[in-house]
Amino acid sequence: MKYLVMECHDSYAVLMDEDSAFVTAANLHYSVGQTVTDPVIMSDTHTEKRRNAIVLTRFIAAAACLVLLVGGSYTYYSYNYKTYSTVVISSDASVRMSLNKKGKVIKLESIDESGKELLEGYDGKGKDQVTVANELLEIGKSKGMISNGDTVEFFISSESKSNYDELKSEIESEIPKLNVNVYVQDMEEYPKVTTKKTETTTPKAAEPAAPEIAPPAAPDSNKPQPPVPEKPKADKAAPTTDNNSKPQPPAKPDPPPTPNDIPRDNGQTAVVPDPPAVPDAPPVPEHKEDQLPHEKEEKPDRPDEAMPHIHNIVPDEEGDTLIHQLPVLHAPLIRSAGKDIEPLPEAPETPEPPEAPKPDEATPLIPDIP
Amino acid sequence: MEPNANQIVSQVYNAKKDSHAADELIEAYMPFIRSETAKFLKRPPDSSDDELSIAMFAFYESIRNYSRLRGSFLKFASLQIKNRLIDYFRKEKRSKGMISLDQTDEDDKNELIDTISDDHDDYAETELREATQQEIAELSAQMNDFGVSMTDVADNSPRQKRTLEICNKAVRYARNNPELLAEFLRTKKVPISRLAEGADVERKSLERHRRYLVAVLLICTNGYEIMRGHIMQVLKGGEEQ
Repeated sequence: MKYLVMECHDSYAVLMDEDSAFVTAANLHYSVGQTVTDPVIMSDTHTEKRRNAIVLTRFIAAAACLVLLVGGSYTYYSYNYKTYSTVVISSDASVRMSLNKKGKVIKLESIDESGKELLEGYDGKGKDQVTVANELLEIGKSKGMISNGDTVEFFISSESKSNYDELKSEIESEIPKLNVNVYVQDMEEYPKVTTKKTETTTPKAAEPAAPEIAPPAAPDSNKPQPPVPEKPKADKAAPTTDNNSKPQPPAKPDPPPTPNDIPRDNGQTAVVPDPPAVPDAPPVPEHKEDQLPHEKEEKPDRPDEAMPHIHNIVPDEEGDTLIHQLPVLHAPLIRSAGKDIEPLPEAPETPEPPEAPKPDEATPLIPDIP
Repeated sequence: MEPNANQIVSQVYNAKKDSHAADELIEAYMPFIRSETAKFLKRPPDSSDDELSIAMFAFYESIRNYSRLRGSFLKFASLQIKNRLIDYFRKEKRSKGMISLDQTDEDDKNELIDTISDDHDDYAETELREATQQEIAELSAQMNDFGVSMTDVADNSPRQKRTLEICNKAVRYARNNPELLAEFLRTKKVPISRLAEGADVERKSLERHRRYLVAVLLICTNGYEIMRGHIMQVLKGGEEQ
């Protein structure tokens, strides 16, 4: 571009270019009216700012490129190299296939020795999971590990339900063409089935249904502890019979005699030291008594009736005499046990008439215990 | 080195506003400029050396771009001079393979420029330059009436192409409407609103470059044929429209 020198100073000159823009440039011995090309034009703050802006823009662009690169490579990695779903082919030989998001096999590994043998000389990486499964089953057939009509189980785990369904439908539609029975299950079922297999050692058709039932049965037989909820009544009745077999049977006929016995007890107040002795014996049943009362408290409509049956009556060491621990449990009875006899007759008066039939109904329990 | 830093800074700030003060400051600091050039050239600079002109220009540039935040002025100026000389050296290095017309031929001991057939007329060229100088002198005088100097115009000239195009659009509109130019000469005021309205450009853009518009509008009036010929492309655009 040509510049017309408009004004000259010692250190600079004012030039006008062909676009009618005026610029300040170095005065390289110019004279006014001269036409020059390629002058040394002043870089003012404005151009510096623009330069800085350009540098900043470039930096931002580079950062954006880096982010895109990292993001893109991560996406590529997650689509191609990250395990998105896993399929275990379980027959005599068990093999685990790791699949990427596209459904291609990225890793093949054997779970057992037979699996190792099956995978010998085979590389299914990059292939579709159905293709690999078909090829593996073919190899299994050729090696005699699988024969027509055998059951082959597939266990699938996937990060998404849709992928799981897709894999399942693919396997269920494609694999049966090889004349094998196919059962597709969730990976969560896999450990159960393998444990079952180790027990049976011979996988056969129609078995997969069994393992689901079997597991719950096994723990029942081996572990007696879980059935706590229902059996405690009988079980706890039995243990109580070991230590206090006699005390309980009399405990239920007691209610009718209580009014009569009370005077006896009162007569035997000298025996009062017995109650302290009683705690020695009950400690074992204490736990079970703790449970029993809860159960029995729920059954009877009146808790006041239940209390004398269980807590207020304690067998003597010999098992013949019964001592009421009224002072311990009932505040009004504490008075009676301590000094006053008046409250005692009150207690039997009110509850007894209805209580009488109940012990009678409960009597059938008594013969069970021995 | 810096006997009174505050004094220099105040001189620099004055020189920013006044081109004469800038010239005086440069004149006062010529020894400094020469020494900086000598450091670069590794020899004392001659007054005909382009490097000295570049160093003086760099010093003027430092005056314009200096602020107190940048520290000592002379250090800043020294760095600016050095950078400018390096840039100039690199630029010259690029055209190193070229042969100078002033170079003498070894056999004939004549300058190369003498061997080239010269078609252009020196007399005509000198005449043209004198005419151009006369035009520029007239323009400068007329600009003084408007209170505008060439340096002001250079400072006020649009930097971005888009802004330059906006101004040129307004100038073209004024050239196509001679009554506007007549009004401009009569009132000595740029009819910004009418230009903005007629050229359909932003008034604010024109206001920002008022002093620049004064110079270009004056060139568009009668009597500045040579300068109009120089910026013909700009004015042609107006004729095409």
